[in-house]
Amino acid sequence: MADMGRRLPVYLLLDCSGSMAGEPIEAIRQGVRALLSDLRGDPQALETAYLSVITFSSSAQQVVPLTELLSFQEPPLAAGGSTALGEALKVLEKCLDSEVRKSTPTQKGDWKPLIFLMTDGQPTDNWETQANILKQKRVGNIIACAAGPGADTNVLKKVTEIVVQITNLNPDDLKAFFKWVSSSVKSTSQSVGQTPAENTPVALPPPPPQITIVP
Amino acid sequence: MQRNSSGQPDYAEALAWKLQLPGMNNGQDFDRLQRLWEELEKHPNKEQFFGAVAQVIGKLIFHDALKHLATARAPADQTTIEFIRRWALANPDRSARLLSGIRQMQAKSNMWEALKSNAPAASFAAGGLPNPGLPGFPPIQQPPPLPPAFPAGSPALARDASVPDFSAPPPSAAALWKYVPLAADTLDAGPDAEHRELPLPSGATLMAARVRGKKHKHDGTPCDDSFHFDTAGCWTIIAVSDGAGSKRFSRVGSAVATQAVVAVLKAALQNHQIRTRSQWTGDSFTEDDLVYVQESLVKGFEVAWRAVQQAAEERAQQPEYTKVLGRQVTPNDLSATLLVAVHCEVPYQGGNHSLVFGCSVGDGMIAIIDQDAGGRILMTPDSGEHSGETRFLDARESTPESVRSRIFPFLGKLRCLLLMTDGVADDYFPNQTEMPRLYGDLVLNGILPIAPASEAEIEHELQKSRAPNLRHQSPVAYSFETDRQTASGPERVLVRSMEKFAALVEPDMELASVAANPRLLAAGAAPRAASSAAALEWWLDSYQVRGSFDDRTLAALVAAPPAE
Repeated sequence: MADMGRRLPVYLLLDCSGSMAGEPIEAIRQGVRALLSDLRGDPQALETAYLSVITFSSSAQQVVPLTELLSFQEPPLAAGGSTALGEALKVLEKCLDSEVRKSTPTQKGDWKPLIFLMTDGQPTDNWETQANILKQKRVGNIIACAAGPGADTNVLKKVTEIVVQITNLNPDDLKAFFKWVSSSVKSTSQSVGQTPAENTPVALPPPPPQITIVP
Repeated sequence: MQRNSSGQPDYAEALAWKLQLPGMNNGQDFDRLQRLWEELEKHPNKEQFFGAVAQVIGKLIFHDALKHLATARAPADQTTIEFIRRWALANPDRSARLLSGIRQMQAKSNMWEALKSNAPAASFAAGGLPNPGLPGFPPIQQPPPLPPAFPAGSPALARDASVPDFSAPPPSAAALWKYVPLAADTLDAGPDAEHRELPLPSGATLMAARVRGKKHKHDGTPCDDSFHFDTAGCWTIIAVSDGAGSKRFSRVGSAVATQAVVAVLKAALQNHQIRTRSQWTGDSFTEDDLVYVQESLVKGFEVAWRAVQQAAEERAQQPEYTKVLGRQVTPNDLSATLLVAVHCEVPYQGGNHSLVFGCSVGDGMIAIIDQDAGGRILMTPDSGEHSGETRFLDARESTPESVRSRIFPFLGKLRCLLLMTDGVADDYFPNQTEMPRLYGDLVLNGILPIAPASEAEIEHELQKSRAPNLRHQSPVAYSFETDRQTASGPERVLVRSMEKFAALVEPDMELASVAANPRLLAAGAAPRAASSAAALEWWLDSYQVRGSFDDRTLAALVAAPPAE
């Protein structure tokens, strides 16, 4: 059967805790909107990338299931509550298990998922076990972003190798992050099919000056 | 109720809306247009109006309609509406004229007056349509067979609106793909696409084509695929290769590897005869004459790798290559796959059998389509489980041990031998079960021959199928309409689809059974093109699968169709 073809699943894990209230959450809303409109203008992304949003505050939930870009509906985002990172990672694991197609002898699986995790604070729940599970399973390429002075890069380093940082929680820097997410998705959707080997890390475009890579 | 300037209800608008002409389907006016349409439907003189409209449509779509009618013998079906709608979408300027033409017709005609004078509708049915007597239009003898009115949400319309067609790219992606020609100073660039065909004395045909993939067209980068074939004595030798997308000069590797391997095998097999055997067994393949062929393949891969290394060494000395890479070229920059097959016919059991050896490094596919249209795969693809990971011809993969372990023999009757790069093979995955669909697509699009059958035989077969009227239907019913990216912009093309065809003629049957039925296939097949290889190139360049952007190459050795 000519099925849906191989998809590039993209997950956004967004921290919507109380500290994001006001300008930051609005910047994230605009960031998601800009990301979507940017990707919709790129034919390769349009044919391969699928987007999902998981939000977390006092609890975590998938607010948009993995959806093709054209049918993607912007989720309502509101800030409030604590930072249940562990639960978010658990939701992510569940979504990856149920939504991402694995290769079988009769089906070509999806490309390795791209996961962008953005948080501005310390996790308030038990997250370490879940971080270990995800790291061991090598479920996808996780890119974590520590946003603002309150974020703990050491925590994120336990979730993934690739951690970037935005020092200030100002709207322009947040939007710059989403722009970088967009270029990363585009470059990944362009290089699918020619990845040299399974476990080489994904090659991302260099981040803009507001975003620094945490070594 | 909306009235036009002459105070009549604007039925033209309602009809244009039902035909889904562009700009008429914004949804906001739904209730009004639906009421207008219902009023028109109840109208005693609606047939006259439809007849007149059909004339206008006929005039305006004249050229396209003729082309359509050439393949659709009875246009009075949903397919025609679909055709008009698609035509209108593809020709916005002319469809705007169509709408104004319909309006003009309505304004000029006296029929709205006639409505008041209550001419009975029955008279049209009995005695044919009276000549509307409009200037510029010839009289019509009988009502053109327009389809009956269909309510919103009828299957033909609902199909587009509510059921996403996942196998095709999303519509807005189609419009975003660009065709960027290669820069004039592109090193080692060949033509964007090429095809070649060679009829053989045996009645068989060798053909191959390659096209630059959507991604390379969009990015202005060259096609990395190559093919080459030749004959030597009774042998045919075919090679295809896919240059690694991530390597800057992989097109050089694919070109020199295919040329080199074919040259070696041509020299080695030129005077090589396979002994006539009364019995073929697995052991036959360990006997001298057959081992010789396999060792020739081993030598071929060895020499091909040497040729790639040599091509790299030559370029390492040239500054323009160093400039592109920022360093000297290495053989790694020329990474490419290599798929090779050799074929000859051997007498066995009172007839000719095909003897084939396939050998490959990397992904793609070598396959036999047998007499029952089933597939036999002559390789184990070297592609990874999750990514586009594959192997390429290099020092490790070209050792005699490695090549020997990749040789797959076949002895039997075949319809064709196919070699393709992953740009095609990935669109037919899993390869083993998808070969009948590939075979069907190639036959339906006029590329591969089909056993000759008379009209009566085809008709007889169709009467037993679920599409007894297929010969009177337009091929649109089993085609994908897509945009092919060409140097002069996107070109609207209709690509016949085995999947749609099988679902239409035998929805309850396995696709493979339909592919194995030559008369059914013949019923849906486009006429054979003058050049099969040119048709192959067109097809490779035209068919669309979501997420499939790669260069595509397919080479085929096609047995002479059996005379019936």
